[in-house]
Amino acid sequence: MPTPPDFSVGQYNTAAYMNAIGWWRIAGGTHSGALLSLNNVFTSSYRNYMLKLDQFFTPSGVRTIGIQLQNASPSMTAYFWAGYYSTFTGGFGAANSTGAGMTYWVPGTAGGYSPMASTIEFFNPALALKTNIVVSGINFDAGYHMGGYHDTATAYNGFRIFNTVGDTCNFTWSLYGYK
Amino acid sequence: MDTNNETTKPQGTFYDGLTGEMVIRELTDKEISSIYYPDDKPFYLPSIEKP
Repeated sequence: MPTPPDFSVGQYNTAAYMNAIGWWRIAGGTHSGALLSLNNVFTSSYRNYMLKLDQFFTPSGVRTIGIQLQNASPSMTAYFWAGYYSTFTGGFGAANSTGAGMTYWVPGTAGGYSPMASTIEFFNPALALKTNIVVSGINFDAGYHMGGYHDTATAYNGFRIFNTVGDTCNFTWSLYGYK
Repeated sequence: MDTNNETTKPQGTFYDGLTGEMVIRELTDKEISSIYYPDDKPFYLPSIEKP
């Protein structure tokens, strides 16, 4: 017997079918500004979340991008992460948080000419566990991969994105939840 | 004639998943200071962006 979803033309969707869908688009849009702040997007409906960023530009110059977890206010401490990059011109290197953790994770670096794009995965952010993050993306000048965790066993309902100079970021985003 | 000499503050987009509402507004001073880390250098950043 087939496992839902197994739709036929003209068939009504039942609750069983809908609940069997393990992947759902939560929200998305196009952003232009210094801060994108999302609340009530991490819920118990999904364990893990994927954020897609594309056509990401910082028109005022090259910028480090920051991302933080939040509820009513953002968590500003205990972000541990480590990543590596390989540039279009053959350079490579590592980037990481300090031993004491940072104020934010770094999902990439952006500029005003070539687009940054990134797939960012959050693991169990809505649970009272330490949240993991995994990033796979392309910076304005390099491929970039990063992983990290937030060293606080707290449930969060959202996150925010900015650049660390506090000026404009332009990008398109989509957030998906999956079971 | 507009004689207001106040500097425009940066804007942010705020989305609430409960209502689906997307609000665009100026950031508060607290929000502005919470995203400003010019001295952090966790990443190699070239001084000139090359196309």
